Amino acid sequence: MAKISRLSSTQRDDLIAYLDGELDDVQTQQVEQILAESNVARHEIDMFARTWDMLGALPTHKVSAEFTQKTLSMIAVKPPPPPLSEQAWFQHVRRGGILAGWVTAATIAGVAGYQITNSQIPNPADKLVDELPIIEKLDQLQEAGSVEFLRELHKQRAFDHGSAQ
Amino acid sequence: MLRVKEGDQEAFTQLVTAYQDRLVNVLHHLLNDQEAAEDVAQEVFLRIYRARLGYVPTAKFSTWLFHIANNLANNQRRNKGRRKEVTLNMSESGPLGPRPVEQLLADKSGLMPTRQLDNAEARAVVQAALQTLNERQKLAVLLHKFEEMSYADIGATLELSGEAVKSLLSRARENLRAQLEPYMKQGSLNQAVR
Repeated sequence: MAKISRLSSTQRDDLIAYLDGELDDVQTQQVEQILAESNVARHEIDMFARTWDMLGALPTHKVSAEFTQKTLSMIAVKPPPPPLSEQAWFQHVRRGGILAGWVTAATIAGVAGYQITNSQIPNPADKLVDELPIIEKLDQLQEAGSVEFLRELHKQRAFDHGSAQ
Repeated sequence: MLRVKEGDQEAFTQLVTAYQDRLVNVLHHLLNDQEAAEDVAQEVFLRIYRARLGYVPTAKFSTWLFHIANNLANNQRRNKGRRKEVTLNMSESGPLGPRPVEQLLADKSGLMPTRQLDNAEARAVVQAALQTLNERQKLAVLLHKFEEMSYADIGATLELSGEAVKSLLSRARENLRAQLEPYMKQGSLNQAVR
């Protein structure tokens, strides 16, 4: 294998992942082979490991003495929002919905009642409407004299002539 | 968390006690401000409490916790950034943003970096190096270093693939190395850390 003088970006990523124990067996073997053969790789991994150790100098911050109590009391003061069914806007919408439901039901009942009533109870005006053609020609019919005369004309198909035209 | 879901208040107290220091530590490093870190941590716990009824244990609790913390810390930084636009003092910050590690140390001693660093200065050097990372790199490093999270868990926290985390941590450590290598070569930082 040729001497490695410079590591590729992927090889450097793998070196760090190797340090972190995040490589699978095959990748681990590949990195170990590179480390065995390359001074550059050994130097790189040493520098990365030492850099990582440097982070141990970072201070560890803890919460202030009153944090726990403050947090727990804040949660007690700010209770979680009530369930949907208990929220004010939902109550308004619910009441509106119930009212609209009743209005719709009353309207349907009214219309249905009107229709049923109309179909069951005869309306005196209906007779008037039915007899409207006779009423409109009442003067002419009276001039004809008697019903028998009209029947005679009907038998002789006197009215057919007019309708044929 | 499942006990909290069932309405066990004592379990929630235990949860806060168990995670508060870990959470505030990471948030403090992210935000550089203890008060802001505690405010965000409180909000994290509040959100967790409010979301308890819908909690489904599909991932580790700590992953969920730090995912919420990351989102809130981002909001906090954005708000702080907006406020800074108004109050920015040019004498304290140059146009290039935070001062590099070298400048920070030069402020402390004209002899740096040839002399030995004491512990406080070593801390300052490493903290300054950490602050040169972008927010994602910083959180990935903190979660890996302090929380010992695997790449998969960091990925779940930051909504990244394992490969993306591998690359993110690699870039972060390259940057840290670039910042710290001059002091490591002197041996001064290693000694101070030890």
